[in-house]
Parts: sequence; C-alpha cells; structure tokens
Amino acid sequence: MNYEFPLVFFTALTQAAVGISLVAAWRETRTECIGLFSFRREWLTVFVLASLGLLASLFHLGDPKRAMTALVNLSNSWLSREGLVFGIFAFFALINIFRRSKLFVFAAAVFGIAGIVIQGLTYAPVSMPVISNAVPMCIFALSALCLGTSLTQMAEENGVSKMRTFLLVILVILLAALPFVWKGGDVLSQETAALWLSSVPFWGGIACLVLALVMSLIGRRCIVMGLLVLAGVILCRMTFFADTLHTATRIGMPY
Amino acid sequence: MSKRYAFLVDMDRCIGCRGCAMACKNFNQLAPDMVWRQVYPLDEAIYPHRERAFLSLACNHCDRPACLEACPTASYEKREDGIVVHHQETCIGCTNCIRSCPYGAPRFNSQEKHAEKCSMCYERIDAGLLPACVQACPTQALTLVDLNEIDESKYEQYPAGYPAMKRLNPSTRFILPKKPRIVRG
Repeated sequence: MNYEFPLVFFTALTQAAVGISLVAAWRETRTECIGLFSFRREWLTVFVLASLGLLASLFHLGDPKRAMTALVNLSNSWLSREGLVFGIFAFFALINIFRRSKLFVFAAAVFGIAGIVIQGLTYAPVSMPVISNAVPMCIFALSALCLGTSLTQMAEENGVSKMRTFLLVILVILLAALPFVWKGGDVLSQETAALWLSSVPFWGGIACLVLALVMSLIGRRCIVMGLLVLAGVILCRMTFFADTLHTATRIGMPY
Repeated sequence: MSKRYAFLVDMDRCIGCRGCAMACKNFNQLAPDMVWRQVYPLDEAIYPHRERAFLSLACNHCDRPACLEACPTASYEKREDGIVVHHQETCIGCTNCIRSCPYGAPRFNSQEKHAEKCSMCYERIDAGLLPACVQACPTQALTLVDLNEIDESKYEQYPAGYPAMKRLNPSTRFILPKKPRIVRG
C-alpha cells in the first residue's frame, strides 16, 4: 500500500501551521487577548511546522536537489503555485517570530488561506473523479481550522472551544459520510468507498478525531487533544492518498 | 491548417498480440519494468463473447493535456502537430502528472527517478516514418491519422472501458469491435 507519506506529512503539517496562523490573526483583532500569549513561541511553531511540511514534500521527489525548479510552471501548475505560496507563508511566519506586526500576521494568514485553496485544487485531479471537486478543499480547510484551534495556547473563554467542537463535528461527519455517499455512485466510486471503509488508518483517524471531540466537549484542554487531532488528520490523509482510486485502474472495465 | 496526429485503434482487427507494446519498448529502449503502450483486454461486462476484444493504449496526446497542466517544472510540451512530448531531463519525479492523467499514460521510472511516456515516436514522424507501434502491428489495427483530415463521425472517441474525459479531449479514436459471427454447421 502506497500511503504517500511525504504528501501526508506535507499537507497535514502545513495545514496545522496555517490553522495556528489563522487563530493568531483572529486574536490580533481582539485586543483583550493581547498580552496573554507567547507570540514568539506560537510563530516559531508555525514556522517549524511549515518548514517541516515543505521538507517532507522533498521526499516525494525523485530528484529533491532540483526541487526549486518546481516553481517554473506557475502559469499552469497548481503544484508550482502551492510551493510558492507556502514558501511565502513560511517567510512571513519567520518574520513574525522576530518582528511581529499586524501587517505581517495578516499577510501570513492571507497566504495561508491561499495555500489551503491551492492545495485543494492540487489534490483534486481529474483522474480521481470522487475527489475531483470541492471535497479536498473542504477536508483541508476543516483540518487546518481543527488543528489550529487544538494546537494553540487558546484561552477557553474566547469561545474558541465551542468553535473547535463545532469544527471537529463537521470534519468527522464529512470524513465518515464520504464513503457512504460514494457507495451510491458509479463503479469507481463504489470501489473507492469499499477501500475507504475497509481502511484501518481511516477508522483509526476517525477514532482519534472522535476522542479529541469528546475531550473538547468535556472541556479538557491539553496537548493530548491537539496531538489526537493531528494523528486523526494524518491517519485519514493516508487513506485519502492511498485508497482513492484512479480512473486508469479500471481501463477495459465498466466505469 | 496544422496537423493533429492521433492513434486510430481498430478494436475489430486487434488480436491482442501486444506486438505494438513490444515494438514501443524495443524502439524506445525502455527499462525492463516500464511500458509506454499497454494492451487491455475488454471486460466481459463490456464485450460478453467468447472471443476477446482489446484496447491498445499509450498516451492519448490530449488537446488539453492534464499532465502538461499539472507538471510544476514545465517538462511537457505540446507540439504544433498535437504530439505531447515529455522532456525527461527537466523532470524532478514529483509524479503529479502520473496522478493527474486519467489514462495512466505517464509512468514512473524507478531507476532513473523520473516520469516518462509515449512520445508518438515524433523523431520517426519527423523523419517521415510511422511510430514503432503502428509499424509493428501485424493486423493494421493500429494506425496513425490526422484528425483534421479524417471524418471523425465514423469513429468512437470514448468506447466503454475508456475514461470519458471531455475537458481533456483525448486524440485517440476507436473502431468498435463487431459482435462475433456465429457459424452453425
């Protein structure tokens, strides 16, 4: 089974970084929160996660030494745009560690959102009809927000815990419902649904997310919850990359 | 008007000998585990007869190639005559083209660590020769046509068992297999 681990870690870690930066940008708009947090540590976390994600993506390449040439086709390729935008995002995260300002915080957030949108388009190829739509973008955006609200030093009184609980519910429902929706589709969709439903990482990921949801509901805010969300996202992402069928797998057979 | 070269696969004539795939492998000196052309037998759900029918497929040299749009290093080029050429020397092996092509045309060369695919033997075409697969086909089931010159209404673009990707507009055309004739003694 090819789980495409470099892509799994690239997408999950960059989404975690974007999620934390979005929470940071949201906090900038709320003056009562200023002073409560260690901004430097938070932006350091964003930078490290984004850098680790970008580093992980190199392991996906046959020739990582020439990774920079992946920025050549910006006019056509979503993958080129993805690399560029996440590079700029990591750059603004680095600036915010040393010289945080509202402008740079919002710039990081804007490039982070752009990165998630572009990622949603990069991993929605026409060759995989079940995800050649808005599904990847929705999964990636929800993952980023769930990770962001779980991994930051958020004050519970800011209403973030309710938002996190709500987002986790939506993410779990979306992920768990997808294979059942696909079961009603064509042969390729049905086969993809069967693969997802029989995937151990998929159900393991759902279990991690449900556990994190329970912890969020009962108000247990700790690092374990954030790690559970990260584990859930990574496990489900393994299924996303390994068990989503390509049209070429059924050439000569009915679709 | 410029040409738009395409493979025409006569499924009624194809006997599934795989001579086209072997000629391609031989001419292009492919690695042992690599194929640029593959012969797929049609499933019985599509062709429910004792005789078999086949889809001989390589790159479809699409009008709007998914590989070309997906490649971050701009290693794909579409020529004036419609042939989509992959430049292996600039490929970094990201496999995004492999993920994106609905026909599975680009393949990953695990020794050289890059993608590669059928080039329609453009060097041979430029020299006035036929692609190796076309030349090798013993039943003339595989031919090279210019889509701007043939009457396209006579041919099938999306036979059963072949992904119908209208946005990409693949150039390969097909003649469907006829029902086998039953001769009773």
